[in-house]
Amino acid sequence: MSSEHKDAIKGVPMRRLKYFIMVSLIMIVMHYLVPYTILLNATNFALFAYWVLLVLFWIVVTSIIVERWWFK
Amino acid sequence: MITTFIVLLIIYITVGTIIAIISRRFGVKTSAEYFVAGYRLGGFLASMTYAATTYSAFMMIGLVGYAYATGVGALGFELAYLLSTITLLAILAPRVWLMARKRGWVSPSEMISDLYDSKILGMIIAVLYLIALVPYISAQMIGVGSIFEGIGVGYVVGIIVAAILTFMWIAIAGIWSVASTDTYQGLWMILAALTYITWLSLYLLPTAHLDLDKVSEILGRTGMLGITKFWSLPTFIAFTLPWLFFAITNPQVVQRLYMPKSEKSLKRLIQYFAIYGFIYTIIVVFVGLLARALSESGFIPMITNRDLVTPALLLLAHPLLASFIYVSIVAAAVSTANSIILSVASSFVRDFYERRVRVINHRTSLLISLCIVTSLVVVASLVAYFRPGFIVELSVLSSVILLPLAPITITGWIFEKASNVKIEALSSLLVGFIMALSAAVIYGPKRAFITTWVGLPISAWVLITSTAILAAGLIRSKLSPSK
Repeated sequence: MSSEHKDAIKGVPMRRLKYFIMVSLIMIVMHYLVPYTILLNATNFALFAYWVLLVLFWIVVTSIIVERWWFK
Repeated sequence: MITTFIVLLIIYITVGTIIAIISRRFGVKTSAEYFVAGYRLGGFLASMTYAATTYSAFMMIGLVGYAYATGVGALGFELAYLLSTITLLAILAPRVWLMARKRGWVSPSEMISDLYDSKILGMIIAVLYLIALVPYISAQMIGVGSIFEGIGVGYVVGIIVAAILTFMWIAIAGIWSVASTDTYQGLWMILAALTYITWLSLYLLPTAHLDLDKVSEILGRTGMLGITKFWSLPTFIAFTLPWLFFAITNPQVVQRLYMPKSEKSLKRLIQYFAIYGFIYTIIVVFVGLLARALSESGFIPMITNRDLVTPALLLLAHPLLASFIYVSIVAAAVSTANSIILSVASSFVRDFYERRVRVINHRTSLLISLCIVTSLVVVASLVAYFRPGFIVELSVLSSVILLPLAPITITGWIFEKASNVKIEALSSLLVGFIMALSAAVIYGPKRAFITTWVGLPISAWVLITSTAILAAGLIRSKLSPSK
């Protein structure tokens, strides 16, 4: 493995990774929990919008993390 | 309609074949070049092949139908996959990408074999891929055959076209021709989806005197915008659980993590795929919901067979638009089928030949690859030709059959060397696999998918059991994660 690759592995801040994993799990739980409690009987596009916005938010967050923080 | 479809199909095949032939200039001499592009795939190509491989004919046929028949829960089901996949990729893809280079991984079964230092594990996984994924490949071909049949070109012609395209776009330059045609097909798929939703929203809805407010009112009144009876929590978990781990259990997508040429390319793979998947999923589900509103308003009749929602809608479209969308479904099927076949072939070439000989003859490797690819295409086509009912059902279960790979793959990636628990890894895999297959035999594949034991779907029990066995091994061996 090249030194660049080794640095990349070492460069991942483990503390931040733990936070990221924790928030990821919360996001996945939210994906199940809110629709089956609060939005169970939605009569408009609220549930549709909730899932769309939740995933869109997570895509944006993950993209920023992957771009700016990952490997550094 | 038939003429327009055939003309568009010929254009699609011709352009795709030209792209595949051009991709030969990248050169293929070794199995690493043939199967993983010598680890030098650009970001855009990597992301598009990932997307086109992931999103099969199921989207435009199956998911549209689920949204139509079961409501907005279908969106939650498909987006759960995307949410989990981008998370897993952000956390694990960099590590896998680095290890693949360092250790020279070509096939995903070889990866597990290397992580656990067990040749037998790699060979068993290769066979497991075969059992789980041949029905899935056949289901793609059945999808193409059904489209041809519906248009009036003939089911068998559809199977033959799918088989020839699948084989040809692999044989021309291995992963280079697959990835470049995947990119082309992925673009075709998303363009067709965008055109489809534009036509529905700007032409068909106004024709039916509907707007978004009325659609919301109609769907809200029928309960389609909430959680319908179909999507009880156990069913939602049964559907989503295998897909949460799809990115680490399915060889065709795991292998794509080895391929990006740089860190930047890997980042682009994750980002572009996320955007693609997000747009494609929303469009497909929205199409299904709008179709339901059209039925509820009496503009089109109620469709009882949910797989026929797209064909029923396209009867109202201009033949050019309908053909454009039908060809996009063929593209989705072919791009998924050839990626899976190449991936399964790589497992057999690496685990049954290259890792068992002292000196690798690359010509022999490529010859073996071609033989395996040919055999898989022929077998999948024959199965599709006879169209046994259980095959489509079994293809649904493929994600559950592959689920026991999740704990051993994640553990291997985290610990990097887990040879101390190879026995437990093997047991975990076999017990999970036997559980999934037994359930399929006892209940039938379709029912096994949604049957619950003590309130939990069988897929959850497969995952829990496999994880518990492996965890016991980890506790016994006191392994510590690799930093």
